[in-house]
Amino acid sequence: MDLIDRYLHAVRSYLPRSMQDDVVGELAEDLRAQAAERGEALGRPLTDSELAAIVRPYGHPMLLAARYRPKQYLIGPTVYPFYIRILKLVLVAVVLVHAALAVAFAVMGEPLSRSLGALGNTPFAAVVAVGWLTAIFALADVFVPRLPFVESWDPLSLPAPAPGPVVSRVNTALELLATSAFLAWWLALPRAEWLAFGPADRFLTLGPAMDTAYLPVLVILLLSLLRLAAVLVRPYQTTFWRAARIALSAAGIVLIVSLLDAGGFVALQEGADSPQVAAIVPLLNRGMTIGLAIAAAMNAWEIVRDVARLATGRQQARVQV
Amino acid sequence: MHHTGNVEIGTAVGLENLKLELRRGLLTLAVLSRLQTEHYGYTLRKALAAGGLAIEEGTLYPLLRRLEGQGLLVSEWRDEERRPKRFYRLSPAGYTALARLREEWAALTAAMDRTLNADGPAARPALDK
Repeated sequence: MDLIDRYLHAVRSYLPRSMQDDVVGELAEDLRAQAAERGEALGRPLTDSELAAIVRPYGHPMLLAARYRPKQYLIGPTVYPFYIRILKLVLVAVVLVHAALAVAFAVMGEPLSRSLGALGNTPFAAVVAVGWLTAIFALADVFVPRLPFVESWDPLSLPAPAPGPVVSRVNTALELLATSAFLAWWLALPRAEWLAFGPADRFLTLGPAMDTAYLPVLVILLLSLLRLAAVLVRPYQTTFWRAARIALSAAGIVLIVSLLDAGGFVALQEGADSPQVAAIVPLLNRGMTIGLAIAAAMNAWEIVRDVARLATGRQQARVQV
Repeated sequence: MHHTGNVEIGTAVGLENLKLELRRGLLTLAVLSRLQTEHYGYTLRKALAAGGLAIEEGTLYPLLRRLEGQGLLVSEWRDEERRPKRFYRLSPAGYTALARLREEWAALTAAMDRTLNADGPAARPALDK
C-alpha cells in the first residue's frame, strides 16, 4: 500500500458511506494520473517524498472530506452575536449566583462544606447553562427567519427614529430582573423575617423604621419596574423617562433621610434577653445607617448625571434646530 | 479616518484570502464554461490552469459534485486508457445557467471597469497620525 492508497483510505474514513466509493475512485484517478505523469518524466517509480508532494496540496483528509458535505453549523451568523452576548451574561450570572449561595450558606451558619459545594458546582452549572443556551439558539437559528413578522417584514413598519439615545435592552432586562427579585424579597419579608436575618430571626425582628419604610419602598419599586418595562419596550432614553428616574432617585433620597431620622431598623424579639444579642442590635442599626447613607449618595450621583445629560441633550437639540 | 483594526488584511495571508474570495464565484463560471466540452477531473484542472485559472486540488472535485447536485452537470464513469474515469459535461440546465452567468459576467466586468476607472488607480492614503 503506497502513500496514495494510505491517503485515500484516510479520506474514505471521513466520508459518509453513500459517497465513499464515488469520491475515493475519482480522487484515486486524479492522484494516480499525476503520479504517472511525474514518474514518466523522471523515468523511475516515485519515492515516498515525491508522492507526498503530490498528495499534500489536497490537504488533511478530514478537511478534504468536509468539503464534500454541505456547509453545516449549529448557530448561524445572524444570531451568533446575540448568542455570544447572552452567553457571557449567563456565565457571569451563574458565577454570581453560586458565589451568592456560598456566601448565604456561610452567613446562615451552614457547614463550610455547603458553601464549598456551591462553589464546586459552578463549572457543572455553567456547562448545563451553555448547553441549554446553545440548544435554544440553535432552534432560534432555524425558526427566527421563518417567523411571520421576519419573513413578511415591511419597511413601512419601521419605528420612528429614536427620540433619545438608545438604551441597551440587555442592561434594562438585567435591571428589571434584579428589581423584580428585590420586590419579591420585599413582599415576602414581613411574613418571613428569616430572609433578612437568617437563623438569627429567633432573636431579631424588623424595627419600627421598617414599618414606616415598607409602603413607600413598595411604591418606589413598582414605579421603577414600570419605568424599566417601558424602556425595555421602547429602548430610548427620552426626557420623560430620564425625568422619571430623577424623580424616583429623589424620592429614594427623601425616604432614606426620613428613615435615618427615625432610626431602629432592627429590634430585639420579645423575650430575647441574651445580652450578646442585645449588643448586636445597635451595631446592625449602625450598619444599616451607613449602608443607606451610601445608597443616598449613589442616588444623588445618579441625579447629578441624569440632570447633566438632560441639560446637554437640550443644548444639542438647540444646536440642531 | 477610522481603522477597523483588522491586522490580517494588511498581511500576505489577508491579501491571499481576499483574492480567494474574489475568485470563488468566478471558478464556478469557468468550470461551467469549460464543461461545454466533456472532461474528467484531471484534464479539466489542467485546462483551467492552462487558461490561467489554477484551482486547488481539494476544491475542484467538491465543486463538481455540488454543481452536479444542482443539476447543472451530468457525469458518467467510463474506462479510458484502461482506467475508470468520471467524465463531466454541462446538462441542459447547465447551458441555460451558463448563458445567464455569461450575461451577468459581461455586465459585472463593464460595471467594475467603470467603477475602477472612475476611482482611478489605487493610491496609498496618508496615514493617520
